[in-house]
Amino acid sequence: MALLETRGLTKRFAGLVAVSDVNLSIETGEIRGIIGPNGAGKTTLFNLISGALKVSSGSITFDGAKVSGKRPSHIARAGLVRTFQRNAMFPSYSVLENVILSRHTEVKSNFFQTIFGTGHEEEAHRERAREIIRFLELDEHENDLAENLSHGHQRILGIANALATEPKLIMLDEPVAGMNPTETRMVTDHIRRLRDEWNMTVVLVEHDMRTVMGTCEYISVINFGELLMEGTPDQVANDKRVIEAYLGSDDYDL
Amino acid sequence: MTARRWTFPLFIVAVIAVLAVLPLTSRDYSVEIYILLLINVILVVSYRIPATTGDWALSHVVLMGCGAYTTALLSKWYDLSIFLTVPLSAVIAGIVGLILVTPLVRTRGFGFFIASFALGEFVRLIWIKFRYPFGGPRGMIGIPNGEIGQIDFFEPLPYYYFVLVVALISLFIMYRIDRSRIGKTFVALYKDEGLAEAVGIDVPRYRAMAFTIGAFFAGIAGSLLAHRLGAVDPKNFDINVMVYLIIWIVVGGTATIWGPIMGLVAMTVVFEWSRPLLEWRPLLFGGTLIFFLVFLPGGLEDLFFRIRDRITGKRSGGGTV
Ligand SMILES: Nc1ncnc2c1ncn2[C@@H]1O[C@H](COP(=O)(O)OP(=O)(O)OP(=O)(O)O)[C@@H](O)[C@H]1O
Ligand SMILES: [Mg+2]
Repeated sequence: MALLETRGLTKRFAGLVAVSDVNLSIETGEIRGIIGPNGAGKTTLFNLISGALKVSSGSITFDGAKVSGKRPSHIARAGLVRTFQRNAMFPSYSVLENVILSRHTEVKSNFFQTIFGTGHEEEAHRERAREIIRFLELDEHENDLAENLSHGHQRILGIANALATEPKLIMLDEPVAGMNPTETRMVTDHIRRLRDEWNMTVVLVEHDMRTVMGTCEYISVINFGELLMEGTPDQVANDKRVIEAYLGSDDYDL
Repeated sequence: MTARRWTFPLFIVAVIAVLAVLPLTSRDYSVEIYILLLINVILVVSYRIPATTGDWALSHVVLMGCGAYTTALLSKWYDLSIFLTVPLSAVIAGIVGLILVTPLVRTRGFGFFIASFALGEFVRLIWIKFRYPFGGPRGMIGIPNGEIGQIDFFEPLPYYYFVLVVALISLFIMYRIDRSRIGKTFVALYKDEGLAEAVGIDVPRYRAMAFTIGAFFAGIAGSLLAHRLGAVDPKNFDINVMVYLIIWIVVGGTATIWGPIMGLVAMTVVFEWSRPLLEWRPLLFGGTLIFFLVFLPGGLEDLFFRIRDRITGKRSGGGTV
């Protein structure tokens, strides 16, 4: 059975069907790309799967359990986490504190142990947070306030916060948006290592076609909220419907 | 860095020393004011806890009232010792807080503000409507002042020291909460609710926790107040009193535990000095509120930390972290 599965997933906003009858099936260990022109419904799809938006109809199953209708914090606890298209972070905290605070799902101490510091797990969380930060090559900025980071580093911090929850599956919403080519290469390299070394399943929404083509083995194309087609990067790049959907949009640079 | 490690404990020890000696050199009237001040310190610092999650409630003094009424009933009916009425009042206020916040977490911002007022008034209405056991509109009188062995807390000085100890313990616990992962989570979920939920923080649950902890300590303040006044009155916990609480916290700031205390002390001084200008007080306080909202939204603590950092040449701000 697939790790993540959506059946007839639909989201209606007033006068607009943003996601329409989408059936996705993502296997453990995949790096799945999701592409589609501006406003196709990619972020809405993430919002539905992560529980940030209520589904209008359809169902979502993760790791054998139904997660549609659950709140994001519960879904994160189940091992399904997402990053944001915007630069989401806890601004007045340092990078290290951001990642430690994001380890919420892993905390075992009870209320009194936490307050009086009698639990012994804080040090372990700090160590693991440092490991994640090092992995993403953000260690130079460990003690910088999140709000003072450069755009690129803020986006990487978004990934670090997501990894802090120790997910089985991570959904990345345009992780390299606005990054320079060096940063982009670095991040796509990390994404592959997440799968290869950390055994994580990755779902990647990306505008930048070259990034998706180079990173994912399998791609789902969304257009006007509907699943247009699925296939390997080659199949997608040569598909008439995909070319048509992207025609005239800025992203057409295959 | 190392200098600060020493200055902070030294500062705390100095403050406690001053608080211990101060009433010995003061008249009874002043000691009564210090007692109320210490009670209000607990109240205003407890109000900050849910405020760090972004929840500005109008029900907080009502929760204080729950502590006061609990104390009135327990000490009048069961003649319980003050060492039991204070913690039990805190627990009851905490439970009422938990009941109120359960529907409240469905609201945010202005909706929360108004809904908390409605629920608070509902509780107050119960006190007013039920002559038995709450005494109706005139409240209850004849609440024992409490005692410890042979020492009667009717005398201001012994009661002052009792309140001082309770206040220091309460502040210590609230300080620990603020500095712990839980306190940081409160601030974090306020800064970015969507991200907080996405990384597994159950936002409604944490907001309810903050509100309940605040109610618990408000209950302690209410209990100490009831023992001092010997009476409870629904008017002691109405919106007028709530407005004072808001003025204190706006004047002081909410970034750290020190802000509300600064605001309370400053406005208590203003309050005492303005006794001769009685009819001008609403204008004075209203003006102060507007001045701070417009020109010093970070409150006195922000001003204090900026001046301190200017002097010590440090760059960083007040440090919500
Ligand atoms: N909360 C909302 N209320 C109403 N309409 C919405 C809402 N969120 C998204 N939409 C609409 O749904 C459609 C899909 O938006 P979505 O953000 O999912 O697209 P996207 O594929 O992520 O686009 P982009 O590539 O620009 O990020 C758009 O037409 C958008 O205006
Ligand atoms: Mg999007």
